[in-house]
Amino acid sequence: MSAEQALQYCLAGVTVGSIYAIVAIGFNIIYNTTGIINFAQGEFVVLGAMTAISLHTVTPLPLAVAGAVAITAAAGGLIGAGLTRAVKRPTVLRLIIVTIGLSIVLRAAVLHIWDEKVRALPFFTGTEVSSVGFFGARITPQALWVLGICAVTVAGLTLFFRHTLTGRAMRACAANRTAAGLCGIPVGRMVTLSFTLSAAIGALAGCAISPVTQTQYDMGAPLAIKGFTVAILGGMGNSLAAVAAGLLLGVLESFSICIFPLAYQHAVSIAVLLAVLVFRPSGLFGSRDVSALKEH
Amino acid sequence: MLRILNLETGYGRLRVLKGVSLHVSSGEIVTLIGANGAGKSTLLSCVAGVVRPWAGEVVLNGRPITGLPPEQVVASGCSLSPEGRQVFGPMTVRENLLMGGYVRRGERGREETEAALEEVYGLFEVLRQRRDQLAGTLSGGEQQMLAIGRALMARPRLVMMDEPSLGIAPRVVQMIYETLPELKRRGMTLLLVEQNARAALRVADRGYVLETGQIVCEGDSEELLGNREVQRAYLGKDYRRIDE
Repeated sequence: MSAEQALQYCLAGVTVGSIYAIVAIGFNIIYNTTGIINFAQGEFVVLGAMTAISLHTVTPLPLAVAGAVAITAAAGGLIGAGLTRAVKRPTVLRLIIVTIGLSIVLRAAVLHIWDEKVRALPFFTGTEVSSVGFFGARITPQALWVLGICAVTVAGLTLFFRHTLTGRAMRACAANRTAAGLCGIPVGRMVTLSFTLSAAIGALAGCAISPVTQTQYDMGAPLAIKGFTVAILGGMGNSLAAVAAGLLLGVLESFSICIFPLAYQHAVSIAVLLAVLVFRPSGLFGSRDVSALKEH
Repeated sequence: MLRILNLETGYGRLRVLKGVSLHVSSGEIVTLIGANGAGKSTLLSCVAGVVRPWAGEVVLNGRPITGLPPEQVVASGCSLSPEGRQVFGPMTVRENLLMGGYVRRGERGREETEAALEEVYGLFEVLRQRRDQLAGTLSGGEQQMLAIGRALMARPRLVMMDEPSLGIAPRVVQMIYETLPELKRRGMTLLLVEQNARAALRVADRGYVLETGQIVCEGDSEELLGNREVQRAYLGKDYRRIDE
């Protein structure tokens, strides 16, 4: 393999990896507040992209994306609010199972509202054939968009969770729900907020990746699995690590193609997931001490 | 300050509190003693809004707070330092304390929260030294101080403490108990739940004895310390002296 070829594989991996990373970040937000893993996260991505595609028929692209993010965020907020009220004795396991059910309902809803056709948003800049040179290899501008959006959300979220009162209160809810209530933190509202935020970021991700991967009603589940793998690989709850893990998995998958047949591409990420769960459940970048503190 | 009337509650079908009435006046330290499983913690949880009452009434400063969610109870000036400390393990000491002041969020609250933070650091110097350490890595005693400090951050008028001596080195228990009269001097009212009856009665003005969900005895601290039944059941003194 020539150096340029290797670089090209790398860039392809980075493109895919940044998509995984941004889905993983959505997982992390809800996990950081509630300790639950929202398996409907992939559906937020699809819902956001589909809404943007429909809006784009009447409004310019930036407006369509903004509208889709707002609509999906509202839907996510409603789900979060409903979840905390409807589920009696909301234990973590119960809520996780409810999110699995929700993902099925949402997928069916998307199928009914739109249909089974594959759609796509136009490229944010350039077209499908335009590309940016990078030391002899090429990368599409949309991949740069995805990377940029990824970087901005991670930076924003890190600041939010570490330095604002609301962000800290959300972390407090995950660390100890009862104690958070006793501090005067409205736990229910924090859960709603986390679903809103997570749906908004999912929708943004959906819009950013739609030109590259295209959007179909049932692409949520495989995306969610990849995003989940990346979230675990990085260490649940750590968005910065999720980006690193996402890029790593993307590159790994991309290079696996030149060794194994293409059909095994997805097996690579599942194998990674299993390996991490067995050998390093706190994630590549997570510290064992910190994850031990979370288990009370 | 606090008036509880015929409070009843429980878990599932199990009735834990069978009509408990008590009152705490402004500026008092009142203790609630009783054996394991008598319902002491349940009573505090019920006042704090964590456990829903089945019947009865809780009045704080003349305002009924029966069955309000925890955040509203805190906002009306009553904080609980829960049993088993319940600190936010993966967050720093300072962040834990800031959470205690959450009710004051907004622009105006920032200065007051800083002031409250200084007060808590003044009370427990070790928390200042460890402010950037993760709360989960503190010792049991330090976590207990953090839990109390966090409850104080909301600047409550009534502080409820659930078993502050549980599982802590005697030296640290003494240290924590020495701060209670200081809190009283600062104008706070305390409701203290303890299994360690001797320590609690020494610092308290009055006490109640809770037995299987009912108040069986009440009185001034000295009175209870001298009460033979209380001595036998909760202070580890038995009737041997009579036999001798």
